[in-house]
Amino acid sequence: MSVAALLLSIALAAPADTALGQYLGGLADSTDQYFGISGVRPDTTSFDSLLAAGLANPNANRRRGISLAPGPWVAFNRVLGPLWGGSLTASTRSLGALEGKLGYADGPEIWMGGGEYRKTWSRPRRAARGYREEPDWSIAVRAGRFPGVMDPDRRETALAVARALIWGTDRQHYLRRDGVRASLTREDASLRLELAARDELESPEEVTTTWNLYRREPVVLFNLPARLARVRELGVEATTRIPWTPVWVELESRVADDAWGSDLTYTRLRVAAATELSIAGVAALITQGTLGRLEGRDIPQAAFFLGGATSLRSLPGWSLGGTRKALARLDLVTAPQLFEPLHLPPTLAFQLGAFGGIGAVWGDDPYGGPGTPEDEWPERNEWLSEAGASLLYRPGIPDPLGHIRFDWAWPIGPERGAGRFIVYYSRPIDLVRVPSP
Amino acid sequence: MSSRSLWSIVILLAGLAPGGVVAAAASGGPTFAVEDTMHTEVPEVLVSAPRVTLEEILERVERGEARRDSAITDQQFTATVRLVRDVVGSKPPKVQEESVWRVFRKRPDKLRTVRLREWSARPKKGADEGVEVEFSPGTGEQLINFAFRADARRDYRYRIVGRVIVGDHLVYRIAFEPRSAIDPAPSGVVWVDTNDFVIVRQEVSFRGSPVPLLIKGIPRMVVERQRAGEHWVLARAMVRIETTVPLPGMGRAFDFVIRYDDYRHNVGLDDALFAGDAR
Repeated sequence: MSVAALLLSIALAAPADTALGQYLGGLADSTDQYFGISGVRPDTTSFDSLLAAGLANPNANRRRGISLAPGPWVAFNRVLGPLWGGSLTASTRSLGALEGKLGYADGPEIWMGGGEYRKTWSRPRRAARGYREEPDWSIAVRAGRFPGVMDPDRRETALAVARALIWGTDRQHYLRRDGVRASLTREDASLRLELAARDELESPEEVTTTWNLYRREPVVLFNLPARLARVRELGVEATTRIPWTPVWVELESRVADDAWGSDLTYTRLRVAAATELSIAGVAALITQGTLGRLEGRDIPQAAFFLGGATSLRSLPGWSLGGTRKALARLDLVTAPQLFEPLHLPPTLAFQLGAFGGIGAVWGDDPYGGPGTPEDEWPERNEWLSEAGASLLYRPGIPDPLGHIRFDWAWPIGPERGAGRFIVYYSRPIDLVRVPSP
Repeated sequence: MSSRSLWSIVILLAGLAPGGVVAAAASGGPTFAVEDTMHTEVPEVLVSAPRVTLEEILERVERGEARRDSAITDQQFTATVRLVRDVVGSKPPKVQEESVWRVFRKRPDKLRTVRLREWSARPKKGADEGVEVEFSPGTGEQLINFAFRADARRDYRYRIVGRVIVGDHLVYRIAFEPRSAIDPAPSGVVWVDTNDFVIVRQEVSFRGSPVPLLIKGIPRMVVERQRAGEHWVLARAMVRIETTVPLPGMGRAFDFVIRYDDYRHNVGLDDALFAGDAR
């Protein structure tokens, strides 16, 4: 009898579950050797009496009803100047969070702030034939006076504030919003759906602050004025992955109508698609595209913009605007493991990238230019294209997928300027709001 | 086996045997012998049944995990949450924080926790300032099957790395890794008991640090399951984390462990137990 047969007969002779238990126990023993005291069973002395006491007193382990968290509220741009303020968030596990903000904008010399209520409902997954993901639902309601950015497709980031404060490279355009907005969001790993409504007075802002820490002249010395109007808007946004494909698609529609008492009437549509393909496990090829269409006249705060981070990077941010937009981008990003032969510290998990892009905006020009016909695709020479290279660093916080990107972008084509270097923070897929993993 | 290779082995064995060396030396030349008194013949067996495919295994694991979860209507166990510092280096490991909880769960979303111990090497001022532990009311144990859910299958690549027969159990080892080359999601290996098609053990690894700014690396992470009566349930989840900078009270490397003991299932927990604490 061979040794293998002997071992097999011994294994079969043992009770089945005992044999599996011994097998797993053997694996656990090697784990114990590695983790040492970390995994040992606790001393259970007096647990019975403590459990009896805990069960008899339901409030013994209950956390405080409300937790309070103060925080700063600071910002800086050429419209607000420095904004100094603070926030206080009161939250409970069952009722959600209520946050109050109050700050003083030194430029326009006004107080800003208000309150925001947020609540998320998460349910455990449900076991059916397979696991069925239960979506998270969240609601947010905000009321008060808050600063806003003109481009509806982008949000102000902390990096933009730092750039404005340190170097004066502040290219965004701003407006002020007074009123109420609310949103209801459903999100799971495959589908994100948001319904939104707002009733806000949108006001233009003027440049009040031109200083920065490096005492440079600000790169933009004006602020595109918003049209003063009460806006009553309904919006819907859906992001989903096409089944059996790696393609994410997003559709967003925002409608304001004078029938609802809105001073502005417009329909703003945006569609986007993105996909990421792995190349032999050493790089990712990310393809993204978006189309935008605004039906409405002379509404800068609803226009589409081109240029800068998450757009055409060879073009200064928000350089061009219009009521129609088309943008396509291709990014190649290497895996962090590509640098392993260099034996860099794990903290310096750099990645390399290369990219190309093409885009155009047309229709009415929010900057007051003559504009171009809305119902025709732009002329060939109105399309702008670029190519470039990137150095990326993923810090892992605050967004596990977010990269700090150092991009060198060069315009392609005749009569285009020199290349640009920009630093920004974004996810590899940034034209579609892919649900968080 | 060809006759040439057979002879090579015979020569080799003869040369290695002390007696062989002596015999050759005594006769003045090599002596060859062939053993012809023992004969074994193994008949060929034609296996016609198709081997179960990886895709089938993945589907059965998904169903097996769901079946495991759905068989639990209520559950109670003792959970020990422990932080151990100085786990790397010359200093002896030291428990920094430990809390022990009795956890009661009942479908669909009821949860009650009773704290049995709260200990810290550096006691906090307030009684409620200890380790914040949040248990889920669900019994799905996503910690061990996160890569084997239906909606995760599109994001991971799988391969069979081993099979072992243990008693009348066939245990598959299945490796998984993110399809994306730039996704920081973990990779790992799971052990699947094909009697129930449940995951009985998982070793998680990371291609790089999940948070390079703060975490130097996660050298090892293990999630173990145990059989408690009819049910496979979590036994231990252990992870060693090395940080880029020393963290206050934890140093540069620490273990975070959750240990699950003393399970009881489906005893018909009274709803009154969860009064005021249900979600």
